Amino acid sequence: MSKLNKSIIQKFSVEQKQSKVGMVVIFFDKFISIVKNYAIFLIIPMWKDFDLILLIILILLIALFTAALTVIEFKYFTFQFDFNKNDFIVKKGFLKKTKLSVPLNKIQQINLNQNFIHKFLNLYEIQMDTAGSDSKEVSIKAVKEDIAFEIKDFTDFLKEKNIDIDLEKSNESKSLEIDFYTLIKTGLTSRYFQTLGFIIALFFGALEYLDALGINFIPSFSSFIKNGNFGFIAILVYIILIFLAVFASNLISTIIKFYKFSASKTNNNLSVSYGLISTKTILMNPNKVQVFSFTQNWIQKKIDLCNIIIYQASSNMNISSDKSKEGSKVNIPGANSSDKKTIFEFIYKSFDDNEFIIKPNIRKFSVNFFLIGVIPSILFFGINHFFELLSSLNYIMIQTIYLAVILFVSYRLYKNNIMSVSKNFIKVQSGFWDITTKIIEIHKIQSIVIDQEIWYKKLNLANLTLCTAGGMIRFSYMDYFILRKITDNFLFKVEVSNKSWM
Amino acid sequence: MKKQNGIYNEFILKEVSKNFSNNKILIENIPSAENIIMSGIEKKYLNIMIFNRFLWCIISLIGCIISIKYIGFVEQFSYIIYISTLILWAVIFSLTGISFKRKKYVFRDHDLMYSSGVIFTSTVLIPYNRIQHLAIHQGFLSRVFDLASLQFYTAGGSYTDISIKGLTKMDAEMWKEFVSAKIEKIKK
Repeated sequence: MSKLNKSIIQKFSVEQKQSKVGMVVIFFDKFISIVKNYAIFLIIPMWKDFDLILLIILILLIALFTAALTVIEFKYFTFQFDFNKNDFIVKKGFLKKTKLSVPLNKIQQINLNQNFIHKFLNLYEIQMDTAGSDSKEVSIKAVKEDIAFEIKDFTDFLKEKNIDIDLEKSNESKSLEIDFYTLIKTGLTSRYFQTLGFIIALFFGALEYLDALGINFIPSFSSFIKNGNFGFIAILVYIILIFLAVFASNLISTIIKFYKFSASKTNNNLSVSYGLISTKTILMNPNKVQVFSFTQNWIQKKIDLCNIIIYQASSNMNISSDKSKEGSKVNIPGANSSDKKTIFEFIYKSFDDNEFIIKPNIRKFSVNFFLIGVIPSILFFGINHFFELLSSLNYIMIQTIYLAVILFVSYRLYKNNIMSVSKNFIKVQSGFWDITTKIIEIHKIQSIVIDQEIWYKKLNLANLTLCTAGGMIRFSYMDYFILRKITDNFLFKVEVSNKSWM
Repeated sequence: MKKQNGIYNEFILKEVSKNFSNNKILIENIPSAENIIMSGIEKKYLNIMIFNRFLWCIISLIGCIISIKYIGFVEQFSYIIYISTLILWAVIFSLTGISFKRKKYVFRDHDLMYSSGVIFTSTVLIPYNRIQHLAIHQGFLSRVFDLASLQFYTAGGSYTDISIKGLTKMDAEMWKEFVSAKIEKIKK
């Protein structure tokens, strides 16, 4: 306590309000959420007989209403620190008054976020993530830059008071920065299939939405399918167009999300910040890390690039809201192998080389091939036979290409699926193009599930799932005998280990 | 297969001799979960299972009748629907006994194990030092038969939470006390 600046203690012992300019942020935040929630009710009735004046009046009314709410929220929102009890206190509400007091040692992490308006006004949103099942998330919408950093610094300091660390000495050593050029490389090489799926889903979603609005595109679309040009060159052009769309959307989303990515070590934590439109700052504690996963495909292997995702234990695993999951996940795009090594060593402090490698049974290949290759082919044959979509030559060509692709895909899936067990770590690698490797520490296992389909009993095959507080890893078609041995070993290690899992 | 197992033993031994040299733990001494006699659940629970399945059958029958009556084109397939529903019932009821027999649990010194399932069998293992909390649940029917279910929660998510159904109320309380004591001991 003595190391805290006296002026800071005086400043935060009294009730503080948010920045006055911050009302703009609160206003837009509320306005956007109201419009987002009720847009459907506005748009659909207006589609048929559009009235501009009515729309403007309506928007003005909503804006006025929001402004009133904003002023009330601003006036009755205060925050302060109780330095005797080590509590952080927030009072808010006009009609229903709420007083939240959060013990500082319960605060898991403090995030400073900035969206576009924050950036413009040089303000920050402070978000405090607390542990506990009824996790009340405390957030202060808009404060000035200096106050935000003061709060972050001294709460971090007070939190770790028992570990006697001088704040002045905290050296921000070894920072990792990912430059623009690397981001472009990452954007161009990763997530082809996810983005392709997303674009297709978006396309059909849009069709459905337009259909709901009374604009019917489906007939013209199906007539395009029936009568459109499906020559060799035309198909090539379509494929190139789709590829371009995938590249472009990947590039744009990667740059927007990860612009100016930097990670730096402070004391025991890794502080990560990134973002073009809204800057995100995430503090990561190595003890909380549950799963370390990295993804690399064939191209990325050639240019030494991989995407790292680090899953932390989240206090509210059961609430499957995206926000809480996003908060506990740290994404590092475009790291090279030495970066990966640095981060891994920072988190786990050790590395094992003595590995025992387990491969799945050949059935992984044949069952996959049957399920995604043979069965759809039979269905497609039936549909084509009854409705005569394609001429027989085209049909045979497409069918052969499809089966060849699936053969290749299921072979890659089989070949790349490897589990390796070492003294402290379990590593599972999977995927056919984007190869993901997930690493967990053995003592962070929460529970083990062994499942088996009845028809694999004779073949002595079973599947293993290892659950941690930040996600699970699964390895299927494994020899039952080996599985039993390694699960006994895992259980033994979990039961004798004194290390905490969080 | 034997070869692979041999390699694994060698791997473990190497590891053990390297790292646990002070405490003599060898691969043979690590307790195995393989050859353990597990205890089954109370016979009375079979009644509840049968009742639940019966309820399910009635609901599905009502669903069939309504869909045949009100969805026009389904009517011509009505007998197919009835026959397939009957077959489904037969399968479900014939598997009830096996399903009951397959629900097994065991409490060991350091962990508990629960296995269930007929076509897709699964075994869940939870070490006591990873249990977050545990609870006893008792539904309406269970109260009639004086049964209760004991549920164990971990931080690993709901997928792996064990819920042992069909214990007598007394057994459930007893096991709860036992595991709670174990957890307390570990915490100290």
